[in-house]
Amino acid sequence: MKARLISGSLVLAAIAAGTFAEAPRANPPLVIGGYQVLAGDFHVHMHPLSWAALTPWDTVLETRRQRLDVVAMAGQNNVWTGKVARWFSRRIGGPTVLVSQEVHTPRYHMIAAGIESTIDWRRTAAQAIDEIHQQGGVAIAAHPTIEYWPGWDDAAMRTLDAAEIVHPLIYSQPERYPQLQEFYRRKKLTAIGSSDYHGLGYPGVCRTYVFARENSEQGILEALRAGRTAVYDREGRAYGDPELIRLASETGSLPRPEAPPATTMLGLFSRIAGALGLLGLILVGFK
Amino acid sequence: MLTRGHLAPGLIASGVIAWSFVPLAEIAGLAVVLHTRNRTVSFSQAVDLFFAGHAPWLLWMVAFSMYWASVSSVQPRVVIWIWEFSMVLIAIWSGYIDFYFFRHVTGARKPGLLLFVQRAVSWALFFVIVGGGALWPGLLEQLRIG
Repeated sequence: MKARLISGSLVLAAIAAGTFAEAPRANPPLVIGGYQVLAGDFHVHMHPLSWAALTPWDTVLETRRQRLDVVAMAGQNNVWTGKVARWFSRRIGGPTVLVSQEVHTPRYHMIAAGIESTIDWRRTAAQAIDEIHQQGGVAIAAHPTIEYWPGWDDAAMRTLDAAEIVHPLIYSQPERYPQLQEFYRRKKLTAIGSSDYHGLGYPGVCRTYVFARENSEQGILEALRAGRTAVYDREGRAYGDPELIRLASETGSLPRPEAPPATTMLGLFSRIAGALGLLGLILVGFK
Repeated sequence: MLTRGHLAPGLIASGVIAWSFVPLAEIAGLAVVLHTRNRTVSFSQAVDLFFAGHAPWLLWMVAFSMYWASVSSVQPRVVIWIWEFSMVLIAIWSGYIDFYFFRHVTGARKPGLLLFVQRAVSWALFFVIVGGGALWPGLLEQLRIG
């Protein structure tokens, strides 16, 4: 009984500490070359149906916490979770949400950003891109590593808008980076950095800076179609519109620091006390 | 803890609701197996006993959360493999516990069959809800079909 009380108290103390562990961070607007520079993540998943941990509303809150201005909320072969996220974000004044789908097929994966109706995963890449364009969206090749190249035939490449060039897998599997670079160089594609977020860590760990005329869904899609993006890897290599990258380099304003808030003492206490409390509850709870 | 590195009340509350289908799916699987069987305890007692066998999964989840709360979310592939392998070990351990649960609670001569049916029902529900959007194309992709 005493052990259970201590364990429960530890969990409650961890939750209390977690409540005050972080202060909100400011997200000052940035203008370069007359464009609003928006930090975006164009590959974010939500629970359910997409192997993700967080609900659409929690994902919106996390993207705001990571100072993202725009996010493509991509359900795997569905758009309704993205619509829930957009509805929630509009109500709280959160990031601009592009309702999106990861068209998840055996041959290729593609982000259909800014669509309203689900696209059938049985389509070829070229057919899917046509449908995305008919809906006013933008087609982004998702982590186009070598095993997906057969799915990206000439017909698809002719109309593809963008490709992920910076993605967490270039750090977890560095041998894949040249594959993304080779794909990106196939033709003039809009450069995209995406986190492929499923709930581990934080969204925006890889991100895209969009140079938009306005922070709206249409404004962002227009910028993506026009190729006005800049993407940076951890070594500082830049991809995207050379003129905009040069301008950003001159002002020294990009890339912005992306790291999540440093762990505070309260946060560390919350983590340790929470883990100990949960361990205690599990172990004494089953006696 | 996976996301923020500490316990955040909002995420906990929302997560509890969003993931409450997991114990419900487990109970559904248990109900399918136990509803026609003679058993030594009532159904509610059987549910309590069954969940008492979840300690390995819960301990694994605390360890998993602690690890990912303490490191960068971008880790080498080998780290992912280690966690995946540990999950297989936990699944086997948990299966072993539940095998004996079914043997003692139902007195079945083939508790393995009951375990299989319970897992088939509850895991099917889990996979459909958590990853149903791309379950079939994902399977085809893994099998290199399509």
